[in-house]
Amino acid sequence: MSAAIEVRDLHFRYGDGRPALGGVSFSVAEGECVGLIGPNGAGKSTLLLHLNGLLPHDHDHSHDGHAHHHAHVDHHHDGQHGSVSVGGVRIGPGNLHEIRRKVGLLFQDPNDQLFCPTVFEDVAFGPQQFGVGEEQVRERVTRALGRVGLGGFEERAPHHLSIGEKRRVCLAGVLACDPSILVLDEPSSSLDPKGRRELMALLREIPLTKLIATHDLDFVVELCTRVVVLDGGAVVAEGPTVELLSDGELMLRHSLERPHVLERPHPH
Amino acid sequence: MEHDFLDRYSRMSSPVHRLPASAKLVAALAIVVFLTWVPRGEWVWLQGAAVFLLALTGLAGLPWGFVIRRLLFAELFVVGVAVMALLQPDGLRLFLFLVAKSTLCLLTMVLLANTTPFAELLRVLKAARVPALLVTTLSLMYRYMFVLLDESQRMRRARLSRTFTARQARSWRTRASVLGQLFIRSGERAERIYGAMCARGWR
Repeated sequence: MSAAIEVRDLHFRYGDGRPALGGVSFSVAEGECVGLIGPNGAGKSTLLLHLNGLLPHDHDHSHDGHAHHHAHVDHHHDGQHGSVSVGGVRIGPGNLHEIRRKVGLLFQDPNDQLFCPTVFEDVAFGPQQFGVGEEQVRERVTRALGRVGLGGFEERAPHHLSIGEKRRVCLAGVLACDPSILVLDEPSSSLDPKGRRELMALLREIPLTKLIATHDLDFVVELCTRVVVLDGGAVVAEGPTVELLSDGELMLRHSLERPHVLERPHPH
Repeated sequence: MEHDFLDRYSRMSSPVHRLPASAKLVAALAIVVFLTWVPRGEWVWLQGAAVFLLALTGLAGLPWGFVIRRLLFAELFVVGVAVMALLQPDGLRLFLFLVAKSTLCLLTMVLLANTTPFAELLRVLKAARVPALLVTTLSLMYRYMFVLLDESQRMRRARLSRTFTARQARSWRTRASVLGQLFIRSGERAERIYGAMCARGWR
């Protein structure tokens, strides 16, 4: 069986030529919950955007003028290449719509993701774009909002919500698309402890394949069975969560730290 | 949250608020068209319209101070345009007539905007088959107006907390750079929003 997410030798440079990803490879199995950790600027967000085909890929390096004369010398310095596959299907210009339906992406700043004037319209946006009928859209919105504990919020305006509520509406908007994989960028950032705990419980209940990029290592310990460490645009370590995060030296080397939950002799 | 003042009154409950949004939109447009049509010097029509609109404002329970502030804000533009009339013979009377006319149009719009939630107006527009691109643009404008105001307010506070002198020249320079920053940030945000829209199937 093919992996839910399979990233192979992914390279990417920003528009200004700065390298962002330098040969990233890893995979996430069906139903697995994987943590993606690493210092600021490691390329986590960029990597996640690739999982939705939101950045120019290997099918598009025409605008990368500098790289051309390097191409025959060292292919690795040339613009972007590598592949990202979802459920065995390689992401390309022809299947973006299908991929985006399958892979639900939760953005770091809920304000970027909540772009409609009411909660209902926002949660309905995805299903509508993916051609779901009107009656069913309504059903899906009700179900998704209920799932994140915000039933009855349909007519609220996004600017009247707290950040925790905003984040949960975003999650509802993603769940309403009925994805099979959930990709989350810093889901616990700027939440208060209660909001964070609620989100954690919520995510645990959702039985989808999950990839969570975060600095919140306690969050990772609670939710993820496996961890991928990204630094300088490359995977520098991967393995079972507790084993990897207990390695204090490894953690410090990559601007991380041993999470507090693991400091206690018997955490559970 | 703090910028609630922009449309705080649109969610109150009064007989005017409870009217269907479509009826209010059509009525508001009709009133504006009527006001534009009123021939020069026909003050009676304007007085009639004024009484009607003021009665509605009272019925809607909008605070008068708020309505007046709103009108004054837009009045600048009105006066700016009407000033041209002063160059004509008998200009002063025309000037006053134009200002009165425009003010009543403005009052109509202030009334509409503050008795109808914007989301409902958008729904009416969509149902009336206004081009989708226009409705989307309006809805994004409404949504991000608040985010942008919040951001500029935060930047303003950050600037004030590190401003120790009151030298005008420098303050203008900082203001310019804050404006530039805001512009760049908005551009970046627009890109992220577009990404988020695509991620949920927009094409």
